[in-house]
Amino acid sequence: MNKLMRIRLFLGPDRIAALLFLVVVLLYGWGGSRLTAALQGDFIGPAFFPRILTVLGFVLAVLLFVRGAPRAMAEGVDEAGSDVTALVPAAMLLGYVLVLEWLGFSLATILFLIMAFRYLGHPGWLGAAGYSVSITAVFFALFQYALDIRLPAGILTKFL
Amino acid sequence: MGDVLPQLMVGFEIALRPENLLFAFIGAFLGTVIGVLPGIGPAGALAMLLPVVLNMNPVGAIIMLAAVYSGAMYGGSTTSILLNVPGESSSVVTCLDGHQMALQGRAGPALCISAIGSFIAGTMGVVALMLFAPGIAEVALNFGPPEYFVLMVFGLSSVASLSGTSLVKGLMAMTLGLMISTMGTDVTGVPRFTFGIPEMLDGIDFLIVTIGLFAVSEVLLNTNELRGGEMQSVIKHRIFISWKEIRESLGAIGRGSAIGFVVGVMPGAGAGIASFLSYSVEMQISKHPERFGKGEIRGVAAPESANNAASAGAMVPMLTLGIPGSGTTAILLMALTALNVHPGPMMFTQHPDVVWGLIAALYIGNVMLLIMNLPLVGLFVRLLYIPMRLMLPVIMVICVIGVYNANQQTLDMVFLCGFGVLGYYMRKNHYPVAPVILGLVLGTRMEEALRQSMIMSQGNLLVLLERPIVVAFLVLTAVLLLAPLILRRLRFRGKQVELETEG
Repeated sequence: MNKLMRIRLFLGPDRIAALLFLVVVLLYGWGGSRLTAALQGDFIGPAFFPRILTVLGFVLAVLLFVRGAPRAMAEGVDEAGSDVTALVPAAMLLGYVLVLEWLGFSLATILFLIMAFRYLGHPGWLGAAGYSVSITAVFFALFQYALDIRLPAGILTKFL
Repeated sequence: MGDVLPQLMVGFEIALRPENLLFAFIGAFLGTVIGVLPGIGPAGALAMLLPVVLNMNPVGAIIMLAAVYSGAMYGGSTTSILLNVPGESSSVVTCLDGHQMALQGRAGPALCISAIGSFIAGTMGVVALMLFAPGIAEVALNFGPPEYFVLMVFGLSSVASLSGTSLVKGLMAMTLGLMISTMGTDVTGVPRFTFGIPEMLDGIDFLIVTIGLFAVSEVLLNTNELRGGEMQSVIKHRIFISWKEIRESLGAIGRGSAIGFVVGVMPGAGAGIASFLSYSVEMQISKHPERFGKGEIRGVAAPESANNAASAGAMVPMLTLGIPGSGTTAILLMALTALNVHPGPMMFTQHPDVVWGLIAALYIGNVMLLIMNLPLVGLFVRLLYIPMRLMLPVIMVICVIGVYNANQQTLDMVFLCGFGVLGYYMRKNHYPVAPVILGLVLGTRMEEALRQSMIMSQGNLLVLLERPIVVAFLVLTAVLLLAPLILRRLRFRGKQVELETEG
């Protein structure tokens, strides 16, 4: 067992979460402490509520760290492996939303769906492309015309 | 009570107009269809359809939302029964016997009893809502900012303590929601935690957080299961229910409805606890408790009635106090606010048409569901034959378009991905996500109530302890938060004594 694994064994998922939450809370508290009141005579100020939340968050993070038991390593390794499976579609989704406005709804959606279908185990590129084009067409008609939702047009409009 | 009936009649008159009936039908249908998608419960369904609904006229929108709510509740049960995939905590219990029935080829009867139970419970829930809500609204009219503040503290703590396995985790989720609610411009016009980004001045839209935490995270979780080969396939089953089965279930439906409504009224308890409680009551009073968990129809009828009655019960604090008791009612509350309808005690006097219209709409939604779902059981079963590998990416596209439609900003969609991943980790590690939404929805109002209380007491909050309702809610909150700890300590001591006597 290497050193990194031993540290993870000691920490366990709860303690890692507690540390992450603690970092968020401390950053939040630091940001909150820099706020100043805009109104003269406002004795409460914009930092009051964030300060309460910082204290609450700090106490909870410490509690979780103290009470969170180190977990069995086998379970942890297993879960870490499967997290990658779920993070790939999340990354695909991020890619999709980043190019959505530039490429436009139709192109971006067709590409995203093809990639996602294939990743989730759809056999063959041609079938994935067929499904993806027809689903995008149905959505386009449904959103743009039936529900009156404005979809990003993207670079296609430059050529049309 | 004298005023209630004529007002309810007006509500029904509005809800029964042809165009509104159409909205109710479309809402119930869409709600069921989306609810049937594995893993997406009422909260997810409402979140997904919000962008569409907010473009409509307020009355139609409210009716449609109410129908979506009921439809999604029913749709969620369908996947629990057929696929053993509960949409949210309230349909987890339905899986126990419902899926066993499906495996025995009795999926039809299970789905039918779920529809019938939901209908009866919904009807009883609406009647109870009609009886109790006006009285509570009247009491609430005397509430000032301090009362509202402690009430919100109580509501949030109960959601945090009841919605998950660990109190600390629930409270952490709640704190996170409250922290997100402070992002954006505060009441005095000071920008907070905006990182100098102009788009952040309005804070993070609750729609993004909701769709991310509920819908996107669900897709990510399902991806995991799909790639791991854990998804089960659907088998063939009998479609119709027998009279004998209906007769057997009536008692369970009645008890489930009563338990469901009472539990639903309590903030935080909600449909999940209601269904668990009714199931265990049925098991305890049954002559054949050994049949539960092996396809007992009462094990489906009781929790299904309870979760529907609870959703009517949850409307009581939402409508009368403007304080949602669950993630789903929080979304409903925000939708109403976006439509310029502000739930709270004043609504009963100022907009009785809206209140009673909503109550009538809930009921019409129930009738619509019964008429629609019994014949459509076969169709919904077929919907589940669509392979998950095609369904999951399509759900993601719907989520993205929903968020894009709100403000047309790329930043919003990036946040959507972030909250999706956050939701995935939270749910995988047993952190409840509902308290985040509730904290986000209540945060701004809580801060405002606290500010007003501080101004009223000139900075000395101890003065507020002279108000009896404030003290009562503070005591209740303390009991709620401390009770599990004390109970655990007692149980631990009990075990020690046992060990010592054995030793």
